Amino acid sequence: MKLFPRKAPHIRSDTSSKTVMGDAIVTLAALYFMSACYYGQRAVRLGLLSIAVCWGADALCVWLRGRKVSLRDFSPVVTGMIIPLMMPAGIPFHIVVVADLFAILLVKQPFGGVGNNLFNPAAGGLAFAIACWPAQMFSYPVPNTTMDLWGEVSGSVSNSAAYTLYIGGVPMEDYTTVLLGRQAGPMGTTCVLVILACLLYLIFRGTVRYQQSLLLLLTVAALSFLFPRGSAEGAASAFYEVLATPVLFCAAFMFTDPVTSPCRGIAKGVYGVLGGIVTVLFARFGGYEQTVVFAILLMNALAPALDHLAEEYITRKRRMRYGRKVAIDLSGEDDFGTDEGVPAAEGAQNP
Amino acid sequence: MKDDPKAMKAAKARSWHWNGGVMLEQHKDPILSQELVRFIDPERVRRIRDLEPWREDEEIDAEAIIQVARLARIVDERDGVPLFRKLRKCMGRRPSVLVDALDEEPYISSQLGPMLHRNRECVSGLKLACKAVEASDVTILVYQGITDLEMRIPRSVGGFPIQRVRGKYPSELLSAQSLVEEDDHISLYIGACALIHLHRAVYDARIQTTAFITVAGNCVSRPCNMEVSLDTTATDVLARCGLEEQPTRVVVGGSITGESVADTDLVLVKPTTRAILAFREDERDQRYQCIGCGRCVEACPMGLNPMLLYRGIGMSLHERVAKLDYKTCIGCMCCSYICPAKLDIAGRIAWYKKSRKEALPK
Repeated sequence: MKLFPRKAPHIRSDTSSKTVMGDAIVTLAALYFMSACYYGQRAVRLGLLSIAVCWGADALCVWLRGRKVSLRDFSPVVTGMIIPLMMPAGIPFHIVVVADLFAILLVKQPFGGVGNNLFNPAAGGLAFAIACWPAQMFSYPVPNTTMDLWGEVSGSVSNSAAYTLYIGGVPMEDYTTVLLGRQAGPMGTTCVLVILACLLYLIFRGTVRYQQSLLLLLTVAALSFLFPRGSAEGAASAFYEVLATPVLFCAAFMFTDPVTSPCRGIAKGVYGVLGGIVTVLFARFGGYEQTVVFAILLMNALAPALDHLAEEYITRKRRMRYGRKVAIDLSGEDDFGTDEGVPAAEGAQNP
Repeated sequence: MKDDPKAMKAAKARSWHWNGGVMLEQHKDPILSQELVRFIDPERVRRIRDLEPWREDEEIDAEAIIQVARLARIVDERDGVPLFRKLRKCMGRRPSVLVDALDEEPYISSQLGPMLHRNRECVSGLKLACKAVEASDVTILVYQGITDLEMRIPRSVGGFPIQRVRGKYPSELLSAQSLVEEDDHISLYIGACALIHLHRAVYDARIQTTAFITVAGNCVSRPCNMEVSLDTTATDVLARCGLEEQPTRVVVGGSITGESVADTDLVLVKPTTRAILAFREDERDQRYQCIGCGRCVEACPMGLNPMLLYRGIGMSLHERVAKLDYKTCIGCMCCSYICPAKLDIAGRIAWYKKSRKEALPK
């Protein structure tokens, strides 16, 4: 039988880049469903437009680089889904488009596209949008109000819990309202229970490593508990800082981006804790009510350094561990000799 | 001794180990629970010339056992080293004897199957081997991750304890060397099938003319563990078990580390052949771009960073790659197995190792 020799390993894990991105898409779709429940069809339209712009811009760059456009690469879809979820449902469409284009054309593709970008594209796009249009980015429509599907939104606008915390107050929403996501805020980041379910799903699927997201959340909670920034104190401060601001959403979907975070477990842990500290510092001393994307961008810049340090540490440990076993050479001149024996007598088939 | 910082440091280093490796679905049943199939050419069975076999109740000394292992041409299936040479190297050094019945790669059970179904011969061979080297202690090693079995793996065989080791692949490759010295103590690994052949040599004067192999894969109609004559072609072995459809890949050896063959007529069963596997699958290129997810780093049992090695080799950064200890790679292929981008990471590292060995002065 003639065959074409293949490379080992001859069996492969079922997980592929497509399933990794697919997991993110499935969980983000659940958040779009919740957004649609609270803000109507406009939320879905924002999402679809953003996906189309991100995918189109990504495909254009890939084509310009002379590469084949791959329909199996879902990374621009994930970026496109994240960006509108971090914005108010009433955001003008052109802001979403500009944020998308900035994310793909300036944050992702100049570094070499998928797998090579230094910064999280969605965080980059959002930071740009916040810097350019802070008024629109932080005016949130009240949930369950009907909005114009395409044009400008002229309904009632409210401040988010993040703003109340930013100016040193205590959010008026009770714990149940926060958990169910019935308060004003970026459209995908308020449904706390759904995001928690998504985060657990991603952790159990292995798509997201628990060290990063959980340590980030725990650090933010611990620091908010110890050093509350407004009138809210202790546990209430920790609760609102973690669950009523977009920190939870970012910890689940942006901070854990595999491309821009360290790859060693120990570095991921340090990255999570440092990320928590930076997030709290930005929240306290930053110039906007929502600064977690800036913290993510800063942490992205530190990721290669953390990986480098972790590698040095692990290499030292590895050399200590594996330098001790000595294999004894089993090669030798002595052989079986030439005598191949005699044919067996009858009954040789039965052992 | 307790306060000696050097000793404490060494103890700490010893207790520390990697949690790398991958969980694999084993696909060992129904093959393992079935009786062994015999596919032996009677004309190839041979006996040792002018040797009167021992009776089982008769005493035999260490030198005689080693001599018989040599005359019987027994080769250990785990490493391809003649059994007599391994025994002779350990004579009088009171090693720990570890019987390799691990079979950790999916589909394969060509050591565990014979160990369980021919346990009388295996235990008898083990007693002979222990006598030859004056073993200080004996353990039979079985892989812990086998969960899909109909039969129960016992806690001991013939009074020798069976130890279930590590639930993750690889554990066999981590002890790839068969004779290891650590802290003035020697560990000797012997394959379970070699012990069966040792029993047959001593008590039946039989030369090793067979090997135990697993024949499996999604194209094989009657997958089984088989005792087959040496030098039988892979074509004959596959024909014996029947093929449901034309395979796209035939693998000799493990389903992870084995070698894919170009012509099954040219592949002969050797004492070290552990399996012949036939697969049919979608062979389209499924490669993606590396997204730096770090799964390969977590999976590497040696604690290497396959992702950085892959990139470094791709960019010919020799100094950086050397710093990353590429020589420590044991070729277990965990990184390639787990990679969601389906990159040939282990293949590239193996190629680099080989090319550097040839390029660098000795």
